[in-house]
Amino acid sequence: MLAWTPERRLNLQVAGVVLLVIVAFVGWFAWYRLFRVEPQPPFATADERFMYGSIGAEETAGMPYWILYVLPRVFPDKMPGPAGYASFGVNWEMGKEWPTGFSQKTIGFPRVAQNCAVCHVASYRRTPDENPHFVPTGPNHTFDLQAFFRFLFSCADDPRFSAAAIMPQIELASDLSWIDRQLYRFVLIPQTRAALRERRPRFQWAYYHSLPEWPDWGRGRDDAMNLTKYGLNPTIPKVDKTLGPTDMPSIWNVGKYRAMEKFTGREGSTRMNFAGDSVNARSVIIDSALGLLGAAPGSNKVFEGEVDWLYKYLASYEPPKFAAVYPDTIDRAKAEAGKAVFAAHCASCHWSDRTGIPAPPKDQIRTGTVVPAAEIGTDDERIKSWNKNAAVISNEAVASFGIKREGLVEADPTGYVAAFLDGIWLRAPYLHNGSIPTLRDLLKPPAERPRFFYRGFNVYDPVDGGFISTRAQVERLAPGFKRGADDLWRLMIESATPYDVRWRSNGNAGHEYGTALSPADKDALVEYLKTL
Amino acid sequence: MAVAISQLLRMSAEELEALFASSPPGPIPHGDAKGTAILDPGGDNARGMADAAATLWQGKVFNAATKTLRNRITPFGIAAIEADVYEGPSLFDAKPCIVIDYSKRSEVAQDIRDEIRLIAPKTYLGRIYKKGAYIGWFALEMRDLTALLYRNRFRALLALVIGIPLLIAILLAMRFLPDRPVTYSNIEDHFKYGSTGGERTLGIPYWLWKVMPIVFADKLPKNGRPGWEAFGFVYEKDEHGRRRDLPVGIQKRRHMGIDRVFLNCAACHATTVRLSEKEKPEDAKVYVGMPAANFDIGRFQQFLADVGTDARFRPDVIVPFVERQAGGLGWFDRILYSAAVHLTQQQLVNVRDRFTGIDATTWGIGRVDTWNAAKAGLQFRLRHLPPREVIGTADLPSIWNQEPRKKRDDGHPMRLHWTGNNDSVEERNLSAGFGTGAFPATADHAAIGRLEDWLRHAKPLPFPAESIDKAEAARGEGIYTTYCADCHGRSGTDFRGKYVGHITPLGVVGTDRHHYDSYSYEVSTAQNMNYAGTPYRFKRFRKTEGYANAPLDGLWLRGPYLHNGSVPTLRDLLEPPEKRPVTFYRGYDLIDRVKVGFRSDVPSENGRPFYLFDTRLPGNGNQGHLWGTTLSDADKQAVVEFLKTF
Repeated sequence: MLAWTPERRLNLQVAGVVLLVIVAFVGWFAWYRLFRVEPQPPFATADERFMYGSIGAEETAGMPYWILYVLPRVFPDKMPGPAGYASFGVNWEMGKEWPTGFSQKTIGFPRVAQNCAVCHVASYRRTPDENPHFVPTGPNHTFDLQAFFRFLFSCADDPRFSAAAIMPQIELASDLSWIDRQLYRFVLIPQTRAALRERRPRFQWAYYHSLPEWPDWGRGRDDAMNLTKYGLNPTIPKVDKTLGPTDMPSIWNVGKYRAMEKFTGREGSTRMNFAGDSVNARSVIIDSALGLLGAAPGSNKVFEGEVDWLYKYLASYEPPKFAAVYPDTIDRAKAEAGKAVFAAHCASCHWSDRTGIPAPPKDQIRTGTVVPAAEIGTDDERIKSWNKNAAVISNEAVASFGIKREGLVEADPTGYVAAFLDGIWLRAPYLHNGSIPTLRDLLKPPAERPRFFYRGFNVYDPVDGGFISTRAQVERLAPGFKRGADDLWRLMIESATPYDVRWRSNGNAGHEYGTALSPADKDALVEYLKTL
Repeated sequence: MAVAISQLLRMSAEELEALFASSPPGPIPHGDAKGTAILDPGGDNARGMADAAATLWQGKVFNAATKTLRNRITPFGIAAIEADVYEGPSLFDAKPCIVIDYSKRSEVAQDIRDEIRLIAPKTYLGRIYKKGAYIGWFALEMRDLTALLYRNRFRALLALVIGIPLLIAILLAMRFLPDRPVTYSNIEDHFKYGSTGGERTLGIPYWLWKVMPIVFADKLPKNGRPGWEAFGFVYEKDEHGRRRDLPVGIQKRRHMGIDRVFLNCAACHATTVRLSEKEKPEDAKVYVGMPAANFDIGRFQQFLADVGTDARFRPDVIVPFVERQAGGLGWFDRILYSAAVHLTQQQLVNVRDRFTGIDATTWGIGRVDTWNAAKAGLQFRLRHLPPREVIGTADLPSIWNQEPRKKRDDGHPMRLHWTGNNDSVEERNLSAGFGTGAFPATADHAAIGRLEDWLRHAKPLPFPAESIDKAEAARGEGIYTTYCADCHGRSGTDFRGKYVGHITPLGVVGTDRHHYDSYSYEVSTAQNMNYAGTPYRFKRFRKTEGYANAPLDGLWLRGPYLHNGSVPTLRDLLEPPEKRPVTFYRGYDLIDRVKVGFRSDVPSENGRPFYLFDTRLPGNGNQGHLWGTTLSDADKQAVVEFLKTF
């Protein structure tokens, strides 16, 4: 029989304390290795913070550093090209550890997630022989987001997504300690695989591919509202078979919306997103960021702080000037003549204080407002991809995270927003679906616009205003680059995805304004548009 | 009533005496008894003192048949100190008790006498006397005999279960844990044979290295040279004049239980040079830090890839060869080498897989496709390379005088590599180290650092002075200064010059663009991820706009010339491209004392054919770099005379 003698009690107490210390240590160790948050090192500039700073996605959607690092080595067969992550068309500054839009942060262990810059840094080259220039907040017209998604999910579906295949690659590339290797082997690799497989059903619709019914998004586009629809819904909605890939937008100078409303005195009149699904730039930032997080933020306070910083940074970000990039190319006189053409034919929908022409009567300014689909006549698939019900559900989801924002417009979209044209020269290809390669092509009647071209090559065509996308451009520009046309053509198709306007949602009809102008007027107008 | 030992420990001396007095002697015990010393009866520390005493004395083992006992002493319970056991009158009250008498059997304890009485079932209380005087109490609890039996069995089993695996583990650890490179105190030997740590990643088991050229002799290049020498490996003689076991450029380390060997820096940056035809090939001196002009790294790599998929690469074929070479293998080594054959094969198949898409046998000797090799390391699928990247062959470089390369005229470091795609000497070294198998987890930074330090100031040996026309060289210096110095430095030791270490755009230098094209912007981004998670992470790789202007130290040892080794001699380089040799031979280590470079007009020596280099093949173009091509013949030779002094 156990007698509670003092000795026994003492022994028990000692054992208890020892046990407690062990449990506490194990607990602390687990917390330290899995959950401790180390702030990112400070960024030298706001641009760096935008391109590499965390928006909190590491906690909810971050990949363990070394898994993301070695995936292209474990699955080279699933890569779009023999060039590591660069073959997805990410923007990668020389000397940086990760491409723009990839943020690295230690939460227990180093993790890598995405931020706004993954889709919102533009790149351009003036010749095929120069290294790319990067423009933060510009549209990323080279990144194949859908291919990147498919790659990650496809890796997770592959039996090779296992410690047996991944660890040897990690061991070749790193000098991780024994404990870290066990952590990867037994916790992070299986957990990451499980997490990816768990998220995959939300992306089922993004796997559809058959032509002409289900074209891929291709480089520089994402099906933004479907991402929101399937991503922010607490239950995964049934696939509704809509398809609305749109060009990655520029997000510079977002202060223009409020400024315009102030000028016209019509509060809430400007709309954001291509079909005007939102009325508030800050809300757009929140919704896009939540799309990257894929879940409620770890801390709403930190998240909203980051959103506020982003809004402030983006509100006054100046798009690059064409004339600064091509000082000798712009024809000032012609551009001045183009300004008059613009005033006569374009200003009612595209006027802003940057156009350099007198404002139309305030009640006639349509810049930033929705133009009915029937009037604009452009491809309507994007409109169909969003609806009132989806807006209600998304607003409820964001509210349930405890985040306050002016919600998505709870109505079916009816048309497309008449865009502000700031930095329009770098926002090619044009129209919401990126169906028209150059400014000059946009002024052609639909029947004469290119029907098949390539997107994602970042060598710029300063004559037509847009990126090199067609054989005609290649033939015209190759001699200036001291290259054969075939050589340039090959370079282009290597880093581009095909685009056919006959594929669903890719239509290039509509927006026929200016198509009837004289060649001289069109020429002048293009020259003027480059100056915006 | 059972009496707990803890109760005894709390009793005062009087209470113990009363208990002892009132208890019967009991039978002479038999078996193991756990002992507890009661040194301070009733005291506060009785338990503590008992525990302390237990480290010296744990109890007694009685033998009722022989009427003897032994004590269990020391923390290990060793049975020692014998005593007789009998019933007799107690010194305490003259009544019967069991007496434990050490006087006849123990030297150390002969003054001691214990008396015990049975105070409860299987429990005895004992008094200790020294020379008949009371000195303390103790208690004995008889252990169950069966329990004792099982305990002993359990101990034996435990010893087996722990001891045998422990012994095996120790033996295995002694075999497999040592990670020992062969080390050299002399820095040049360290360069030629020392470790970069790469054997840990790519090391080929030593005995496989020894038998591979024997088993697969049919796959060696047919050039009349035996074994590994067929690829241009050079065997030096040791201090006793005997041929060394391993050639220059092979490092060796005991790792994972066996000796493993692999290439080190010297494989690509050291080779033989002969100054005169009179020197015998086997006596040729090895020059360190110069390009390994005779090393056929491409075919060496192809050989490894080919044997890995050869049907003969299996233990039952290879291990007998190893046994013959090694003069017999122990049974353990035989198992180990069978496993090593499989593991090595896997590795060789990997190499083959990674390089599928480019043809290493077209590199020719003294050249390597640097960046496609890097892409293979990054596991880019070479078979999907764009056509313009597929051929990127470049001449192996010299690696002397790294320190002056860290600072060019404008204060920035010089652009390194042929395309100038990196400007950090240390990063460049680690990048090259990948080729020796030195990866982030395996790089031996101390050993590499030692080389790095030496290469900062290592110097090329001078050109034979008797073959320099001093007067012409002096005249040539003036011409060189006018036409060459801005890009290539003032001399072989003074690298000042406003464009030295800068890039000359491709369109200006006009040399073959294949190597330039094979290095893509994309590969630079992936390279800058190398060594992630360490302070060494690469940050300096760039895609540049052309080829770098290199200093010309030791230029006489760096032929053939241009980045792709397409012009055999300096004198030829000063001719316009159409007058440069269309084809020439590589692989003769005899210096051309007139035109400077290696003799390239000789097809073979002693029946051993040299490699025919054809400038018409893609990547081999000898065009461009037209500087000096319009000089007079006399001026050209004067420049060559001056370049001999570099």
